[in-house]
Amino acid sequence: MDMLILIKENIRHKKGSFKSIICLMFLISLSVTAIVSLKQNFPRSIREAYERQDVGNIVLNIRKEYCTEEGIREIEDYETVKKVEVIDAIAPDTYEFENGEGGSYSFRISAMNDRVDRLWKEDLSGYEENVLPLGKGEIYIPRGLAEKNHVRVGDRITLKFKDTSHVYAVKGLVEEPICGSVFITLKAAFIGREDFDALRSEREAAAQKDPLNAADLYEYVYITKADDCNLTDNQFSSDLTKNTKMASYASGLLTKSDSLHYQGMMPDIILNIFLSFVIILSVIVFVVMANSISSGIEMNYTDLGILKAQGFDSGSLKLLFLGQYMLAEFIGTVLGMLCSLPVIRYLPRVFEAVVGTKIYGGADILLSGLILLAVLLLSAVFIMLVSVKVGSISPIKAVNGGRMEVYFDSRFNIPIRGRLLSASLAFRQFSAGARRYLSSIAIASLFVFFLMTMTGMTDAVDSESAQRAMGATSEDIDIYRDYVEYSPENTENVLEQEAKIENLIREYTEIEERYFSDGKYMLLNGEKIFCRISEDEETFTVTKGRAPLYKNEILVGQAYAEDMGYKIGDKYTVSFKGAEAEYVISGFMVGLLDAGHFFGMSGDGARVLAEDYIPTYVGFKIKDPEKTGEICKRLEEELPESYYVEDIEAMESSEGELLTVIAYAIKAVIYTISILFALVVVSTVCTKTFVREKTDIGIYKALGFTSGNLRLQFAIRFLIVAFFGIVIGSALSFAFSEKLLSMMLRSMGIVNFVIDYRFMTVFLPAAAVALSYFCFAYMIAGKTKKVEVRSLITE
Amino acid sequence: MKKEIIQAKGLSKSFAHNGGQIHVISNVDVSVYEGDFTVIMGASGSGKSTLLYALSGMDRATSGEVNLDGKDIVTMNEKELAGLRNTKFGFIFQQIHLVSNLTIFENIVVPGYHNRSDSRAEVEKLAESLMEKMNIKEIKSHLPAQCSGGEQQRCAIARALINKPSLVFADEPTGALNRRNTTEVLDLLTKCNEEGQSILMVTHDQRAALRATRILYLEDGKIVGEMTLPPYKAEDEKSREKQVGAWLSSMEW
Repeated sequence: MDMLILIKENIRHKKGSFKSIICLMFLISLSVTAIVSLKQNFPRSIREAYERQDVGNIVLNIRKEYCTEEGIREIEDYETVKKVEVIDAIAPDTYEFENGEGGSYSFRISAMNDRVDRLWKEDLSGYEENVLPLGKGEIYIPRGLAEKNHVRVGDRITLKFKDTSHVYAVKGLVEEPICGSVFITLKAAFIGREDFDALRSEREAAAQKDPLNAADLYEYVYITKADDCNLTDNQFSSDLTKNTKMASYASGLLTKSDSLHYQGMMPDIILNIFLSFVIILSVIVFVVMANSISSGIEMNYTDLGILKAQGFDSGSLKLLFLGQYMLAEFIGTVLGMLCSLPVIRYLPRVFEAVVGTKIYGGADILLSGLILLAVLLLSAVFIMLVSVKVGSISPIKAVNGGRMEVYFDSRFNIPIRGRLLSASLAFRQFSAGARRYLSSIAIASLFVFFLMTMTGMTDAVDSESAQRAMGATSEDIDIYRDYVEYSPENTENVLEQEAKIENLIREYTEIEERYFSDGKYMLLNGEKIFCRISEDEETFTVTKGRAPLYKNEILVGQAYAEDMGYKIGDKYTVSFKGAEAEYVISGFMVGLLDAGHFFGMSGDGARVLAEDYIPTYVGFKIKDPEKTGEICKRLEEELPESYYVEDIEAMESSEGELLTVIAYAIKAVIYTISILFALVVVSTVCTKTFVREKTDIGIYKALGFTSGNLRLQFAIRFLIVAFFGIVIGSALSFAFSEKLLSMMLRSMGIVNFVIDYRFMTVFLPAAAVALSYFCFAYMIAGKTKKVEVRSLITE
Repeated sequence: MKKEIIQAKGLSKSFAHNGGQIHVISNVDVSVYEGDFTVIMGASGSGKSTLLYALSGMDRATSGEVNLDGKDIVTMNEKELAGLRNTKFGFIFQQIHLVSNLTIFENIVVPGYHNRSDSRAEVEKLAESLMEKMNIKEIKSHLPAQCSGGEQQRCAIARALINKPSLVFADEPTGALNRRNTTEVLDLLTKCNEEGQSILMVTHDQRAALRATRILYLEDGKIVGEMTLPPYKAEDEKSREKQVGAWLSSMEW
């Protein structure tokens, strides 16, 4: 009972600290509950969509000419396969919406089927179960494609083929869980059965006339594993591709688990970023508590000593601190959990635009509760440890007026200057009690570190050098051509066109870099993964080992190699369209292709598998990018129809745009939370400092200083604190930010995140922290007005 | 005729207490003159310190006026009062109140730097001479915690004098000191007064009051008696003690 009375009184007298802890724990609890719940709800919702649509475990995307009855039978007969379903598809050369946006490849049209059983409502709040049949000239597209191209229901899409084009009206947005995500290149759309049959017949006839048109005819092959097969989706895929032939000819292979990985990649990364931020915030709460308890003991030395004199032992006093802080934390935690409910309900809407699938589910109270309970327990141990100081309180000393503050010479002292009096007095106040500001410095440095990390991440979106270091290439002009079976004549023709392209570009400007390359899905050790083939080996971003020098060498994406346990010097078999050869891993590389799950070889290496291999793609970086438009126009006029020219700047990748928006949104949220946290932290520390220095404030006032002078002094002192935090935080960022980002973005294939440190990368976080500290301290120091010189009078 | 430094008329100060008002000083008319060492005496709770702080603008009077150079300091805003405290007045407190993280020298020069009317070099030169006079030059770079109470109070006197104030207010300046330090501090204040410095001191120490040239006696917030004395001389201390003692007895001290 006596403890309860004391706890109640302590809370009443220290409302400020109590409120701060409630606020900080509220933010943490809200974030933890939202993040944990969303992390559970994402994969669960996507998996449910897979189950409902019965999408199988593997989807092959294969040209019709390679999808033979014999090949299908071989898969059907394989022991671990339960079911194979083949769905006809058509691949237009390009597609374009009426708003001008569109794409050039990886777009497949199928006939409407029973799998498509849910349409997004017009307000995108959920699904309509009643999917109306498609009439002539109508098309359903997945939401991911609509978001990527800023399309609305009713807009028109033109599917372009070499010899013709067809226009359809978008009737609705469908759920397409396998490749509906904005970040999966392949996109599926659906037209009515009648339209599809007519289009398919037309493309078959066109293919007979010109073999180039055979590339318009595709098949989706859905493969489901047997009920008794215990292999994971990827093991099943690997086993199947090793033991059957058809997968080696497929343009793409996507397992359900890979699809889930790609779908959830972006939300997962975002949630992981926030989770690491929350961990930092939790550390900050602990630091604030330590500061609050420690200064509380110093400032209430007399009261605590009197309590000791009345028979309270150190254990009871520790319980007193534990009780009041745990109560504050508990209140904050419960409030945070309650307020997370609307966040969990509405926040997924932001991610639904990215994944294209509705995210269901409420708060995962159990898991979040367990995590928060662990935080509370950890903090209880921490409070007990910090409050161990009460053991040294002496009742005799306490009743004799408590422990007076004693200052000693500090090595950091600088002389008091007449000119910069406020600043030098502020520095003295800081240096004389530097120990007291350690927690504020630590907090400022953590903020600066995290804000610099986030700024570095968002800066990378538009930093060419950072992107290059992470394996991206930068071109001004991309040119690719229709695939034609490799032959000496084709090679000759391509080289001739290549020479023509280069000459034509040189008429306008110099070519700075050329990327003569290709990308093919091949089997590496039985796994169907993307292979980047480059005629210019130096364009690979090698992280370990070296680029392939010999034709039997390959580079493997570092993230993939680490996942698979591949080492430099290992030998593996690579298969492509029935041919196979053994290659040695000469090194590891980085790149964003298929989230880092890719490998690379030289053109000569590719020619081991296909003798007359010649790349279908060439990219150019030119000296005068302003001439890009002009050059592209001229190339389009001069090159044959089977060549496609892209002006990279004019195209403005929608994925890139979305990534930028997401990155900036994360940065904005993190800056906002940091500033709010800084407000609470600075308020707590300032209030305590203020109470401690009330007499000094009175003395300065008696000497003729105004409240304004003293407020400025107070704010400058916290600016100095922020400065030290900025220095330490920047050093931490230089040492660890890239490592932290590499860890967080590993699922994207980025294992060596490179921050291109620019002025703003350091200045922005530094300014945010410095300004927050300065302004909030200035705000809190408004209380100096209330300090009367009369307080110095002893009567 | 002596020149008035400050002149208070109808000065009152009340505090709210338990829903009512406590009148600590009521309707006081008083002047402080140039060159005087004025001492305010009275029993505990008579309102001595309250009167001192009301006269100095440290605390606002509830009513009445305090004129300084033709201006009423009761109606001055915070900035004007701060300026006044810095340039016109000096303060010495019973609890000394030095800034604990500044050295003795810095404690003295800070109000001088803040004043800005003298150059930094002039302020430092004056501080050096004041330290010499107060006999604290040896400890100029010590922090207050490293000095004795007497040394600290001498530093506080030097700080009060750094801006060459018209009037120094001293609130029980020897209240926290031992006998030896008390004598040292009183000798210094007397010396300053002899050199022309006007002082207004509150004390309930009869020995301290002997240094005065004018004593005001306060009772229940009102000035009930006043006595004037010639300038203090050590050799006259015995007779002065008798004279003041007799007067204080008449005041029912």
